[in-house]
Amino acid sequence: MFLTFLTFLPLVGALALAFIPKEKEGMIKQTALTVAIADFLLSLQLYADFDTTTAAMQFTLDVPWIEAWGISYHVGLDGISLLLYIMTTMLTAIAILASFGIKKHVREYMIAMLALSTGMLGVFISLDFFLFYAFWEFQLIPMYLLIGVWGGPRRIYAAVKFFIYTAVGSLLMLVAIIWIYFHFHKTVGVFTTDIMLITQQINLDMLQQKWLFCAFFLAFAIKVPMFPFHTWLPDAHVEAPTAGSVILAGVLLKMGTYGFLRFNLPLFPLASVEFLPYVCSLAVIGIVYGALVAMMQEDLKKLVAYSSVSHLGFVMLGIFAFNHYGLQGALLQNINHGITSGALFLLVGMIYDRRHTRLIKDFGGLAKVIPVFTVCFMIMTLSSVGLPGTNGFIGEFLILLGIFQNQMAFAIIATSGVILAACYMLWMFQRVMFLQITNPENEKLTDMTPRELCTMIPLIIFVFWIGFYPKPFTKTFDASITHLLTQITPKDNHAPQGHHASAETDTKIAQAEAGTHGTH
Amino acid sequence: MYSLSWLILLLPLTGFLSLSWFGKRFPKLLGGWFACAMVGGAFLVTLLMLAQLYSESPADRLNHVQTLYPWIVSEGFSLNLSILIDPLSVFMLLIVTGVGFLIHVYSIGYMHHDKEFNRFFAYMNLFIFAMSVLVLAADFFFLIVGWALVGLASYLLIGFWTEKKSAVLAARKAFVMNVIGDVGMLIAAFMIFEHFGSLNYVDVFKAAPTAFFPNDDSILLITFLLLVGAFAKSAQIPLHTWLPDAMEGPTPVSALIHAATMVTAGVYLVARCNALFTMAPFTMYLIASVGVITAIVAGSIGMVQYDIKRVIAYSTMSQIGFMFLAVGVGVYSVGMFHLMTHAFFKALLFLGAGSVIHGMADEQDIRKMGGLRYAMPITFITFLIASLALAGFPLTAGFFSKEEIVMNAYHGQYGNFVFWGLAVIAVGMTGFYTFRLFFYTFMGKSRTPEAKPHESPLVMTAPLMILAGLSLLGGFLGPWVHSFLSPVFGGAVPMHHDDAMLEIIAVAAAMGGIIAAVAIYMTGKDQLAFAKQMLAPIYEALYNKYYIDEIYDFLIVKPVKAIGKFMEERAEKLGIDFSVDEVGRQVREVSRGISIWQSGKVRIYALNMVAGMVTILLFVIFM
Repeated sequence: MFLTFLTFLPLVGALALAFIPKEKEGMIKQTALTVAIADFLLSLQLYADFDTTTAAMQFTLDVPWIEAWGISYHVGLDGISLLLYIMTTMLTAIAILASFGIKKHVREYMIAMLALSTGMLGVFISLDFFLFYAFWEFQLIPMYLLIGVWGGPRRIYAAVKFFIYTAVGSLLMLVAIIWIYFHFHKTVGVFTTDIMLITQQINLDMLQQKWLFCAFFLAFAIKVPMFPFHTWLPDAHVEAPTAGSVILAGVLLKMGTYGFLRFNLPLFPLASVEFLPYVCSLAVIGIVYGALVAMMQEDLKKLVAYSSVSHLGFVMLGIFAFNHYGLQGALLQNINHGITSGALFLLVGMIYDRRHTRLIKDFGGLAKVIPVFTVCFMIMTLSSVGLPGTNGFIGEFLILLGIFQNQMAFAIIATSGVILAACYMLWMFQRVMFLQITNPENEKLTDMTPRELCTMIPLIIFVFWIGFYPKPFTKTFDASITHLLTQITPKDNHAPQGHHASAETDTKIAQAEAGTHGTH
Repeated sequence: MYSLSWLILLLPLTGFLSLSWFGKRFPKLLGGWFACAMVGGAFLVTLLMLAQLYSESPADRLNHVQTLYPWIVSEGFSLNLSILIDPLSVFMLLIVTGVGFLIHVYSIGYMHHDKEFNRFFAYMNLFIFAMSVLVLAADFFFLIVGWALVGLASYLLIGFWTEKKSAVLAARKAFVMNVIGDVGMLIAAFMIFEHFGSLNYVDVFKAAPTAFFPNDDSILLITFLLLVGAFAKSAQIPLHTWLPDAMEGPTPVSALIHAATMVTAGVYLVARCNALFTMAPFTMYLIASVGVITAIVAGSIGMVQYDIKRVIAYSTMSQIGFMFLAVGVGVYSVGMFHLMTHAFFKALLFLGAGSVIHGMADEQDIRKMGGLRYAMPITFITFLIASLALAGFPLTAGFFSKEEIVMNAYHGQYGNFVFWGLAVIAVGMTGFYTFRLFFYTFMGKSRTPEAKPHESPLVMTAPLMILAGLSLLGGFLGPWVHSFLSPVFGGAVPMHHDDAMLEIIAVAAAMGGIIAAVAIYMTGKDQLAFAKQMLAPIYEALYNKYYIDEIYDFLIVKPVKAIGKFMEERAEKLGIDFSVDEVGRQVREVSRGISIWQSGKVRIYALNMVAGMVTILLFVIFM
């Protein structure tokens, strides 16, 4: 019940905002911020109550919704979604605080932000296909509005591209979900959309798994975004308002990787192994390609956007390492990327607010003028490069360690992404922050305001916290990762390691095998 | 007692954090002395550790691991935040914190006029912290952490003057080259983990002798990858081009990071991982070869440069080449011994150069100096001592360590005549460039009469004098170094070889170099001009550092940029993004085409009707 309350609290807040007269902008902003912060603080309780020893869903609520079709309102969190959930509430609060400078339609803007928050949170807790798909599509709308209404000069193009691209991808997923729905009825005899139930009992042969994998893959790969489905991202980022970019990079992209972990791997383990080389290839291409293209960007936001393509390639690589280190690294890097690129977008937004340009060549020598900003920017740059002591390093280290055990060649190519990241980030940093001031307009820049500093400080704390002591974060993943691995490991390689979930798994594998034979 | 060793990390870290947070509120000099106190404190704690090690028998001095807390716990894999106290780490730390402390004190005078005095000291403390992490790490993970953090400190300090373009570019170059090294180490660590299931030094080194056959593919690969890191950090060919450029940073930085400590980390790494390298004799030959080649190449470039700091930078590369030669032929403690003496006299040379630059109002071109012996007597004497030590003049510190290296280049486990011959040539070059520099700077008459050089204040000259003492007498520590470090290297290696012939030739080479420098630079410029003309092509190549920067630019930087540009302009905009938009456009075109049929215009409906009827008619008639 608590989880449901947390998830819908922002939406309730959005409704409440609708009753505040639109002239009272201060009150609207404060209400929105209060709701978001309350949601974040309350969500910390989830971390406190979370049992890290089990892979089972926690804080669950399962009430029948449309019983005739087997649809229920089933929500819960496990190690895969817990931190994503908390990060979402945190980034929402930060994004709202960062949007206090919005001039146009403040009330509608805040309503969209809060509604977006509920949509995103819903995606991470849904344990029912119908519910999941509803949230998945629902969060598109406020994001579409945020880009399309409060965005930059080419906002319509970017918003439409974003919307259509993601919607097309998810349509195939919808088809796949419906197919699964009927298939499950045919084989098991129940009409249900319950994800947990389906994951446990579904029988699919190789060919079916392959087709379904591809349908889900497209939806999630667009969202991640993986090469070559990434071109909506730079456009969306460039046109979106700062807070939109923060949410986009911080949370929306994570829905893609989350989808792989929640659906593709456990539902289609055979296909996942089968397609592993292709997925890893795309991930590695994304890493190198994203980095190379980022290097050539002249617009700061585009540069950060392409760096996301590169970094999310690492996350995908970690997921498809299919071992503990890789998955641990991938989950951690999910969080890290949300923190770091969210912060980078905030910082770019701050200088954009002051100078109304994001072109690298318009800057230079800012270090002398705005020292506090410089320090924050440097910390985030180094975190993005993956310097030890920052969060980025731990994630990349675990991912590469994991992928190295299984796919050495991919690991070695991927490391070139680390070198290229150092190149493009430091080159950018040098051109923006160092050397002499060439543009007189930069001489009068004001340093970060207290409000802006408030948006950065939590992120900086997490950069170093994860960098120096990642255990409180990684320990939430462990049980779920172990469970996930037993779901995807082929039986013959399945060493008896005394997992608590092994009995359950064995029956599942037996079932899966029976299913495979049955269809032949 | 050993748990006190955490202070070695904690003190400089405290200095860094407090100076960077409250730097602006610290009175200027207080900040500097505070930073010095932190490093001095770390030095005292290190001395305490030394005393503690001495209270135990040599065999018990190994593997004192102190664990603070578990860092990552993953399945079948856990990393503790822990440090390792043993003779090697304490020895290295004595140099890092000891020389580091002297350079900190010197910096108070040198950076006195800088507006961002406290920021400088914050970074310097950060460096000492990072270097201590590197040295104290008890596993490969924290080794990499320290390895990358010293790279960061180096980046921040080279680019300390953020408005100076050459400095900023040099900082970036150094960082990127070091990241290449980091990645090599990273992959090496993954391979080590795959083979040993652990990253702890203690586990890995204990298992190493039985885990591989000598020259196994995997041990060769592991050691080779470790070397990529070592060579990048220690500026060995082919990853050396960042070091000369790094001289754009403040001179104390060059002394501390780019001479005495950080750049020797590669040698430390090989010594630390001797259990692995011993299993890979091929790699040992590679180390020795790269070392001796770097010694020659860097030495030859150093002979013709005119920037006082760059000459010393090439000399550093060359001397680190000697250290690699030593560890490469299997005499690890000789390499560490040279690392120590080099730290003394090279730090001294750099600080002396800094004093000269300070006194000459930021002039670095030795052609514009000369005759400084009168204006700067203390700097002159100490610089002379450092030069003698560097050139290997008998009984100075450099003489002992270098003589042992040259001797072992022939007699060592992997030594041979070629290594020895090349080492002797490099020794000769060392004598030449050292005294060429010395004569240009201090002897003769001043070449810029308008300059008003002055001696530096005591806060700068006191460290010079202490280091000069160490440069003179440090050589006599040799036997102690060898016996103290021998447990780490699996017992004592016979160091002394009675081969008077080789010894005489090596000394003669050093003297020959010095005399050649004296002959050319004391007796006037004419012979020099003649020599330059005779050897013009060689001279050009040397002066332009064998064009290596240009070659890299052509082979790597330009192609990568071109590929990036191609990706951005062609693949991204015209390829992927265009096709995405094109799909959208086609869908729209098709729907527009279809929508004509539904436009509501009666004319078109009529036309359709006619067309349809005609089609049916034709179908009926002809079928």
